[in-house]
Amino acid sequence: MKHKTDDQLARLLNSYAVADADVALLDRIIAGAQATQSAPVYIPVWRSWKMDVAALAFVALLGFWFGLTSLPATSGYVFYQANPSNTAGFDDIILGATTWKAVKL
Amino acid sequence: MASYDPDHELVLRVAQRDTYAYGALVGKHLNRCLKVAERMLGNRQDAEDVVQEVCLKIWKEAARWKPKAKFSTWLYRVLLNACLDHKRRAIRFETDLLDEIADESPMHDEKMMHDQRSYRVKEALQQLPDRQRAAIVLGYYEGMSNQEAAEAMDVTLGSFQQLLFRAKQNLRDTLADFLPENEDEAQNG
Repeated sequence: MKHKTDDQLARLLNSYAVADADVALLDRIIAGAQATQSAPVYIPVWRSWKMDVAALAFVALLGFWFGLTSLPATSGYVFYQANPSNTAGFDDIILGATTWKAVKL
Repeated sequence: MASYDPDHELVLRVAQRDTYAYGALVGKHLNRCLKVAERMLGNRQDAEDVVQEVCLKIWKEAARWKPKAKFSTWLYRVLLNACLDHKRRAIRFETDLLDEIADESPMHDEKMMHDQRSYRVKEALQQLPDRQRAAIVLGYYEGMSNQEAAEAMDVTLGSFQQLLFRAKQNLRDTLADFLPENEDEAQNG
């Protein structure tokens, strides 16, 4: 009985037929692909965590180098060059004021 | 790769931007894809849009394709997902044309009767839940084995069989008018 109803259902489902694809659709699909061929392709650069770590290390190194080379331009260094014996004044610049008097100055 | 995949060579050539290979690969699967999409969506235009979208995806991602499964299995999985996405996005304003026709006069013409059956089957198919519809389309219309269809749907074999069983049951209920118990007797008598 089950087999019989399956056959009936199969016959009924067969009545819903859909048409084949036409050639124009295939042409459109191929043309679409060819159109994307000339478009710029996204190339993923960051492929792993190693690349991220390397990038961070590079930026840190760059920052360190920049800090070193720009040191002569800082006010503390200039002050020290001008007054190498005035360590208190140098400390004030580096550590900040330690007395109210120094603050007022 | 578990078994020989006839599409493997073509996909490798598509990955190298060979448009002839692309044409051959798409041409080979286009008909079936379009039929699956049309039965999934119930609409030719939407089906063509989805198939074009999927084919473009093949072109773009052929280089990343890894032969873990047969290409056709991957293709149908992508196609089914694209159909479901499209269906979720789509807002439909369909009129029930058949009911209007059916109300006007009884049909004696054999062709019209066939059209009515076809329309009812189409509607019944669209009323099924998405996964049940996919099970019917792949398992019945495309003649895939249960194993193949289950892989394409990314479900276990048991789940697929259950989906197919429920789908048939639902279709029998919906199309009960066309499945009289004594149909064969009536035809013989």
